[in-house]
Amino acid sequence: MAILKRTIPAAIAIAVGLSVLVAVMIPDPSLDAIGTYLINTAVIVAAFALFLGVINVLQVHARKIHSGQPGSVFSVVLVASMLVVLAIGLPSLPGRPSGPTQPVVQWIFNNIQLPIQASLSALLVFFLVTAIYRLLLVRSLESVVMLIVVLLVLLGQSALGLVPALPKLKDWILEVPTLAGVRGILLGVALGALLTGVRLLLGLERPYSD
Amino acid sequence: METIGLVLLLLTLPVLVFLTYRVRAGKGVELRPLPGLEELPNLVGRSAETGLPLHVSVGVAGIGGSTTAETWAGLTVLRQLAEAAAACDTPLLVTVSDATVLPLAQDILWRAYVRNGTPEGYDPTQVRLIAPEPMAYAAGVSGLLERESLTANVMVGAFGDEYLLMGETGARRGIHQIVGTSDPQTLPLVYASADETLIGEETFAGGAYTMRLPVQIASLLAEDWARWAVAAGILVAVVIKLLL
Repeated sequence: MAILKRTIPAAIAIAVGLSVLVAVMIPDPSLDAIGTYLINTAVIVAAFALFLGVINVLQVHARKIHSGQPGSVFSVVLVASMLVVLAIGLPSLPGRPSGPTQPVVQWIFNNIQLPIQASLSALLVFFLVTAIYRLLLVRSLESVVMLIVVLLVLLGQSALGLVPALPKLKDWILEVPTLAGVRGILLGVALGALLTGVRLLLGLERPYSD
Repeated sequence: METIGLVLLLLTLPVLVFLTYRVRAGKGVELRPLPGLEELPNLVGRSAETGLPLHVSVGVAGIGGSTTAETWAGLTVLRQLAEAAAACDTPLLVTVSDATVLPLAQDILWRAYVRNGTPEGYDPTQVRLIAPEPMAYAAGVSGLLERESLTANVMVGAFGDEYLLMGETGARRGIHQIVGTSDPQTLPLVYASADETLIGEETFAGGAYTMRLPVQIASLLAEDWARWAVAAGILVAVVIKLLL
């Protein structure tokens, strides 16, 4: 059983990972073909995961509706919308495409989903103001520094030009300390991601088996 | 670019293996304190006391894209929380944005309950797929933070601007929040709304701090060695540029 539970999954994962890595690193048509085949297989597996996702959404919201939890009316709307879009999008009409390119599904996406998402994005401005207000209340040295820098950058971008030195100061803040900090963070993230990948590739970290 | 990647990989491999053996031999190291990660076990304890669930998010990305490592970091934190939650019989509420993460998160929870000897405690709907679009996911999670009574909100993974929608809702409701992400543009938003912040590479250190596995501690050490090498390389390049 240990072979089934530990060794075989680990061996498959390591072999597939290394094969794709070698195909990416070494330009060779036969290695490329193997790599592409494995990636396509992963895409098919991911499509099955989407199917599991649909079942999960139905399970969670059916339970909410059944038990009459607060906000279950939203669950009714969600499940109904999902079923309607699936019913419209899945069957192929003669001479018309099915799926996401189906005209009615496209209309729903462009006229319902997109405007809602755009409205939520617009709301972020107000959330940003409340976040800054919260920073004002924290009163730690870091939050004071952050607030001063935010104000200097904002004033530096102002078109009024009352203080000529401010745009230059804003440019210096963005190009010197900010850029240096961002590069430091990105270097650290790159090293962290690299080592996470190595641990997974070598099977040193195996969440897919006991 | 591929060549640089291959060179880095080949340089990192022996260093990681060497350091893993060193740590296994008992030559451990003191890890610098990271309040965000050290607070995690306390959150589970608090959740057990109050009986209220703990919300965990592993970001808006999935497995297979350029942000897989961040998602993986979130899953590592989830694993630690799931083990503790199964031991204390505390409910976890996990939300995911990508369908590829759903079976992984469910599997992590299931294994935690099986290891604890209480497989009947596992409920697959503890993990919820909210929406594949980041903004839709954020709207779903902020609704959840608004409606449900929660002990804390732990979010580790890939997040963009949409984080603010969730972070501010949590902060407004007074929910204790621990958030870690690696996107420099999102980090100021996280800093403004979370109680504890994991900045950039700190998100990848979750396993080393919480599970203390030799390979994960060795990975942190290898990261430090690589950091010194990169810093030295930058200094040497600057000096050469100045002299020539």
